[in-house]
Amino acid sequence: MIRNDADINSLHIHYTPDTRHSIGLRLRYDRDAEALFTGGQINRLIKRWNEVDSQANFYGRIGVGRVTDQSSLSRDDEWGLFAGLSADWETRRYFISGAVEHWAQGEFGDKSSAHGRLGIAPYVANTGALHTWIMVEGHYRPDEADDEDVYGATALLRFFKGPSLLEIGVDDKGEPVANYIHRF
Amino acid sequence: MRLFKTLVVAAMLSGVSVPAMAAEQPAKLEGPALAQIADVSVGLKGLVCDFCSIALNKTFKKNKSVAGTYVDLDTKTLSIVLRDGAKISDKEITKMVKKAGYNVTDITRKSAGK
Repeated sequence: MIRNDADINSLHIHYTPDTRHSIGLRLRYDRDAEALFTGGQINRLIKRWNEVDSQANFYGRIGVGRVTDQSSLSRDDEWGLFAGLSADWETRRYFISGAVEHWAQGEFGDKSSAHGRLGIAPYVANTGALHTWIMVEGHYRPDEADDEDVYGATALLRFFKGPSLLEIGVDDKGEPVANYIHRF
Repeated sequence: MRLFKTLVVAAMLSGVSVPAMAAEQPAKLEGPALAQIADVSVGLKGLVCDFCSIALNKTFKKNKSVAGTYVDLDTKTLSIVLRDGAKISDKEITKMVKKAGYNVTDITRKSAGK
């Protein structure tokens, strides 16, 4: 999974040995801190609710790795830790999700965030066809240095076909957002 | 002129030979057509996107009795074609569906015994 917004560039490559777990590599560049996290991440599907027309999930994730300075300040490397919880509910027409996450990065700063997302599919497509979603995401990042960045919103278009999912959007400051997921 | 005739004949032959060769290829066990010849149809709960169908296809592909599968999001059905002479029990199907992360609502079979 590749995720890029105004504050973060992130790459997550993971393997799912079973439905409930995934283990992988996480790279995350924090533009504010000018720091790169490189480490391992474990995701766990804590609970899934399957209904005839919907599915809901509750996930947890943790990660540990090294944080390296990408600025000209020559700061020493630090250990970085993060943990997060997320939940979603979706039908083939509607999508709702929420997530909270906390990052501890020593001298590079601790950061918490909360995200929520709403989505609607303008049409319902069958297997293998192009699925399209219109989505709105809101975030709360209380540790941002700039007050303007504490709250934010992003409008997204999600295109989903077979194993590939692409999201493109723009946030409330006019910055582009692009996310990509491919399942092998 | 001779070259032109040769090219016309070659084009005609290639036009004939391509469908003839294609007809010899065994039909691939995939896609919506598979549902028409399926030995088992499994009703599912929790099916909402293509990632769901990928997870189910991947799980069933590992089973030696299974020749092919197709997941239809509209009908919420997993269609299974079995290999010649192969059998698969309801218990085994339910277990594999659960392993993929979903639930079974019903299982129907084209012919008894498979």
